[in-house]
Amino acid sequence: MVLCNSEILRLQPGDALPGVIRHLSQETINLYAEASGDFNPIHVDEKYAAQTAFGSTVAHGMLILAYVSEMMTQTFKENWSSTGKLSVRFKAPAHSKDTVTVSGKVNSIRRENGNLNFVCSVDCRNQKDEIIVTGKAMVKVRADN
Amino acid sequence: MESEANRSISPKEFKDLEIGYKFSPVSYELTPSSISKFEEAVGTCSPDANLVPPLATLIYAMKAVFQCIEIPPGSIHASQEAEFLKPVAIGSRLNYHAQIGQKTSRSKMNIIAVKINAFDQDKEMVLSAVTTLITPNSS
Repeated sequence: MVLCNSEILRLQPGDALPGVIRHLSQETINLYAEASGDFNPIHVDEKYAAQTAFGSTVAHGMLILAYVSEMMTQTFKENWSSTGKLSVRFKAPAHSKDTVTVSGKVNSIRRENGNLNFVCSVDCRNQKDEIIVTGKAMVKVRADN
Repeated sequence: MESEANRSISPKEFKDLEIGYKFSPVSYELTPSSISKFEEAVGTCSPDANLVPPLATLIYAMKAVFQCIEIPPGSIHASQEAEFLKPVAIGSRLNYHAQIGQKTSRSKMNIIAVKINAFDQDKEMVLSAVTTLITPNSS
């Protein structure tokens, strides 16, 4: 779901952002490895990964973060690419067969110099509701958009 | 044509990296092909077909910069900060400047933060980011 400008300006503290759900697979992880050039065996070598503490291959943290950025793009459109800020911690690995749910919530909105400054909490959870990534995202939107 | 980052730079050994160390600038062209690969992997398309998805700008910045560091096996990406300052058109060649912002050594691990700034052809900053890694201490 993509919000239109008037819907962005109607967001209030406490409102949820449109979520993103992704089902991971080894194929997805391999495609990301190709794109990023990160072929660390913990991501792409199932035999190697099975012998580590992770027990199986894990997704690149930046792949999961891309889903967060997708949520912010869907919500705030071009404002995200020109004023977006992100600060997150990677709390746990996402495994190759996990389902990742990205969610966000507007924490505060501050008016400043003709802009609305949105501060949102963001997190990614697996199918067991365990937090994989957590943090904050900030974005400025022209109030007269 | 797929343009890759400057490959003439040999990776810097982790032990040689000190706080404030500046890497030689590297550049990377965000070609339609590289952005297609990113979008295929992430399963999304940019709302504007002419613009690079913001996170792709960051990922290719990391791809360009981290070829300059020998990252020890077993390293973990602990946290990530990013600020997107300007939309980037597909086909842009960005220049990346990176510096060690933090390095802390403990008995079993090191924490290292790499600051990356990306500039477009007009020398305007389009991205500022900090990547923090936890690496095993082998010494």
